[in-house]
This record gives sequence, structure tokens and C-alpha cells, in this order.
Amino acid sequence: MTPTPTSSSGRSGRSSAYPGVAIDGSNPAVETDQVEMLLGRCALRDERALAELYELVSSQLFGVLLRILKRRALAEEALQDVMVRVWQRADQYVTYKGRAMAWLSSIARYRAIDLLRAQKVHTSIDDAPAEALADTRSDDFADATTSQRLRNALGDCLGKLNQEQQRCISLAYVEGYSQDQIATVIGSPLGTVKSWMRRGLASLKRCLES
Amino acid sequence: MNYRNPQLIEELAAQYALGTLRGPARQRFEKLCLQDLSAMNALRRWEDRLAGLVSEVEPIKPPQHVWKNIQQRLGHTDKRRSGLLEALFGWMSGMRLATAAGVAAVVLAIGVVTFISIPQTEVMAVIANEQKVEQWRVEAPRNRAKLFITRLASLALDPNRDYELWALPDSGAAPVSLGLLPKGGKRDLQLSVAQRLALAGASKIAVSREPLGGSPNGAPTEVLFVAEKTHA
Repeated sequence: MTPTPTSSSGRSGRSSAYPGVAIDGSNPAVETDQVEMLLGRCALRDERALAELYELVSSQLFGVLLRILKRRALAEEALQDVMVRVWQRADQYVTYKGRAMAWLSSIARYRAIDLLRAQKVHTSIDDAPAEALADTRSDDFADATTSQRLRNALGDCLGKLNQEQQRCISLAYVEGYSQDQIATVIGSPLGTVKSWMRRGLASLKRCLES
Repeated sequence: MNYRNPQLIEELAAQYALGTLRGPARQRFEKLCLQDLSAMNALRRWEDRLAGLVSEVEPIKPPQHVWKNIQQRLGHTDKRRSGLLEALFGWMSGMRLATAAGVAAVVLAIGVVTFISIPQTEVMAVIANEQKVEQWRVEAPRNRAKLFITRLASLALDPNRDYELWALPDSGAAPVSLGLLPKGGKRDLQLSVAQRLALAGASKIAVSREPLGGSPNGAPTEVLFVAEKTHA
């Protein structure tokens, strides 16, 4: 099995974590199949499969962890925890068939959130990378959600939300911000932020199910 | 909080998957998911809906030592460099004798060793009848790519029937055929990926009696024996 270019260079050949969705013209089915096959082999206690899986997904997962945890050492520790957990729970993946990257990224994000809680790491806005604080009301985010790169069901449905809702959801999911932090970042009252998020998520669900 | 309210479950699942459900509320929802399948399913659906947002994040290659730490924590060895190779490279480096001829000889030796190495097998299950007479032994190499079946008992089997091995998934899904058992001697069963996955998700295997050629409809016709796997 040959790891895709994602493993070393990151960007090229990357496919969406959203099941069955290509971002940049790569064939997502191949990669999803690869990840699933490797998880199946991990369930069979094939150590080499874990090494291949790590080659394939570690850059994506590390990016996710670093974005939420902001601190490199903590993100490295979290990635170790995630891969250990994946090895230990690979047999459970069988019941999640068809959503390999959703499963892996959920494990990573939840681990990051747990670490934030357990270590009382309050990622201050000062620690956040500049890109996290960029005004996502600007064209960048709107472009990202409607461009060819993210032309999929989720992108389409996100694009139908108003910009405040889009921004709140992105800050929560991608940056791992709490609702309090989001309120601070965008300078709106907490109650308003909660309301945007609740309505945004409800609209997203309706759109994705329509 | 009334967890019987589907609307509330839906909102909590969305907030959990998004990451904004924090503190005790997050822990309470985790407990609820363990007890309530509808909550767990709501969470899985939200994980799926939002997973595409990961593509917003630039992948970053982690440093080399992370993988080494993972291997260390799991007690794994580096498969790309076996213990034997490690020893040989260590020896070569220490003795500074790595001439071209020496390297060639070492490579040849590695080739031979690799060629003659036999995969380590484990007994996965022993299938016995009601009188505890052992009928078949099921062994598998560590990669679980195939099964080595040995017929143990000399009790007569019906020559007009075949005997088929099945994985019984713990999820309650339909049994998955693993192949026909030998009526005497030994037989190797090569497993497909689907069969390996089914076997990994099953703590029990079963034997059925079938018409010659195996199950006509993909399901066991007459289950004779069920055995617990002794190794995963």
C-alpha cells in the first residue's frame, strides 16, 4: 500500500474528511478505502498497518490538534494519545463503517477538548495563530465555503448560513473555542452567540437532510 | 434536564460534536450516550455532518519523535527494521566492516532469513462437540490474513454434507462465512478483507452443516457448534 502525498507534503492530493467528498479532484473513495482497510488491519493487531495509517493521517490530525491546542508540545502528546486510542479501539471501527476520517477526527478533537479541560489550558487569544483571528467575515471564509475546493454538501449548506453563524461554527469546530471565547473574539454578547450557533446548527441540519 | 426530549438530545449532540458543550454538561452527555443509543446515534450523525470542516485545517507534519513515542507506548517494534536487521546494522556499525562485499553478504543473508521465516501462529479457537470431543482447531498468523484449520476428531462426518465456518459478529449482524472446513487433515482458508473485519468484530465462531459446496443462500443452514475465540 502506497501512502498518498498527504502523508509527507500535506496539501497535495488531500481529500476531504467528509465521507465521499473530494476537495481538490483527488479520488476520495481510494483514500477512504485505504484508511478503512488499515483500520481493519489494526483491528487484527497488524502493527505495520498502524504505521501506514499514521503515515496517511497523522499530518491531518496533527493540524487539527495544533489548531485547537495552540501549543506544539501539547498537540504532540495529544497525537500520541489519539493513535494509541485508535490502536486500542480499531475493532470498534467496524460499526462505524464508511466514515473513517469522521471517526478519526472525532477522536482527535475530543481528545484535544479533554486536554483543554483536564489541564485547564486556557488558550488565550494572545496565543492564537494569526489565521485563527483573521476576520472570517472577510471574503476568505466565504470563498472557502463556496469554492471548488470545498464544493460539497457541507460547503453548500454552510454557504447558506449567515456570516455570523458560519463564523461561530468555524471558530468552535476548527479553533476549538468555547462559546465564551467566541463571544470575546467577535465582540458580541454571549447570548447572541449562543442564539446564532443554535439557529445555525438547526439550519445546517435541515439543509443537509433536504 | 429532561433527556427524553428528542429536540434537547439533538441540540446537545450538535454542541458536543461541535465542541462547545463543556464542563459537567459534556460529561453528562457522554454518560447519556453510553446508556441511550438514540443519543449516541444523534452524536454520530452530527460528527458526520461536521466532519468536512476538518478540511479547513492545514495539515502539519508531526515531528519524528511522536511516532517513536507511540510505538514505545504500545510496545511495538519498528517493522521497517526488524530486530534481526537492527542487530546486523548495529554489528556492522560497531565493527566498521561494512565493505561492499560485506553488505552484499548481509543483504543475501537477510533475504534468506526473510524467505524461510514462518509466520507465528496462534490458536484462535478449538471447536468441540457437546461431549467436549475436539473437532477442529483454528489457528491464524498474527496478521490474520488466513486461517489454518486442522481436523482433530476421527468421528465420522457425513460424506454428503460440507461443514462451514462462520464468524458471528458481536454487533448482531448476520454471520459471515469464513469457508469450508476440512473433513480430514488440514486446510488453509485465505480470508478477504470483509472476512477479516467480520472475524475481528466477532468473539464467537460457529460451524454449520451444509449441502455439498457450502451454504446455498449465504446464511448457515444448520448450526452445529459455537466456540469462543481464545485469541482476538
